[in-house]
Amino acid sequence: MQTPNNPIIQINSLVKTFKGTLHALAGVDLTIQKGEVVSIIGPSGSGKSTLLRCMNLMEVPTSGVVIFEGEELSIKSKRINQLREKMGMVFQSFNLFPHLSVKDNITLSPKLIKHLSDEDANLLAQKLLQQVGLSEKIDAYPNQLSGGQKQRVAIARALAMNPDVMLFDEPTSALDPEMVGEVLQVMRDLAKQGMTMVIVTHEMSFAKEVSDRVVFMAEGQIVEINSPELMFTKPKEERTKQFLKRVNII
Amino acid sequence: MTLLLAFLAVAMGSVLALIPALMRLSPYKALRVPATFYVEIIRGTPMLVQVLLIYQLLNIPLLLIGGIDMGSFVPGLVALLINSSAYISEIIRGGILAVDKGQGEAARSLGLSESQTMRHIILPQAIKQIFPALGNEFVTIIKETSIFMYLGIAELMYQIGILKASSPAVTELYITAGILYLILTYPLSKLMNFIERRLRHADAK
Repeated sequence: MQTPNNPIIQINSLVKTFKGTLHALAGVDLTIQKGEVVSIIGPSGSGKSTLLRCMNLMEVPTSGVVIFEGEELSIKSKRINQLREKMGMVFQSFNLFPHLSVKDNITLSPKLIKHLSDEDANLLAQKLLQQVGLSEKIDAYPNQLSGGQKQRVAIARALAMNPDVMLFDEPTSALDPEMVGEVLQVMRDLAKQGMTMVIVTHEMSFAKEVSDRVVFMAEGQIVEINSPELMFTKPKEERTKQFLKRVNII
Repeated sequence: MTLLLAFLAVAMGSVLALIPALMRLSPYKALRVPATFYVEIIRGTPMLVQVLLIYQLLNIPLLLIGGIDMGSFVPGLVALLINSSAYISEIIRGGILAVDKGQGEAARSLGLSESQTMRHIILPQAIKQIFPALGNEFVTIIKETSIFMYLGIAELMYQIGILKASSPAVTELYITAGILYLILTYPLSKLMNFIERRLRHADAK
């Protein structure tokens, strides 16, 4: 558990309130170190997706601070677009652009923002598709892909901006069970390459396998942060135990 | 004449309509309020009143260019343009709102700015969604050009009016006019259907 102190994301007393609801996040502090894989687990409605979405300000916090690579994020600053480039995001519902081919999905932002030439963009798309095992789908459209393939393209697309951290928001929750494995494999490879990853997931065995730390959330708060071994065998908190019992881990 | 008017009104109106549509979707009240005001006024008043008003305001003397009397063509076009831009802006706004929220989020997460997201991700998808409604508006406008007989634009109903003076078969004349309008609009509906199918073929979700 001894991690070098090289924070990439720091979250301080984060609060998020949605109209008419209780606190989605009720004061959360969390630091993600460079190179580490952190999984966030917890019952639905516990605020884990909201926390993840606050990390690149997809969700604007009601109060509190998010610091990315030493810089405080602000939705009002023009810098937010440049900072978001460095934080790849993968969504539960893929969100591929249906009117663009797989290649164009991947190369759109490198071309628009980094002004990559067509040639370089093609090479980049080929390289990334090879990495997620979908080289032959470069000219396909999203509606011609299975769910698992869509999500792998979405990961390739997020990697195209060469991010320093990847944020995964329940990446396998919308998939048929037989397609979960192929997506997890891509994520596993990514973790092995040293990518900093924050993963909101219901895949407990995967969280246990790839994570350096596991965060358990309930009711908008972090209840427990632990190593995967201890979290899934000897959790400290009663609420963690109850949750893990319900999902049949302990 | 009718077709030219309707075509210009829808084509230019669609471009113009983007302005109030985007203004109404803006987070800033200062932009939203005037656009809403504009749309509500145009939609809430009769086309005939708008046409007559603009005809009065744009008092252009008789001037023939390419056999068309600009004195009635220009105000007619302006009136149709204003009218159709308000209606089309609502269609566009609906189309933009119908694009899945995740599309915008995915684009923003890749570092695209708000305007890049609108141009490259939201609008291309919205246009596909609004195509049927846009075709509808085109057909409506073709029919609305009948209003221009009051301005004396040489146009179907007006010519029927001239014929009426010399013929006793009034009912037949109106039916003939109706059929002529249908001949104009029906192939258009078919064409729109065809383009719609092609677009849908290119990518279904």
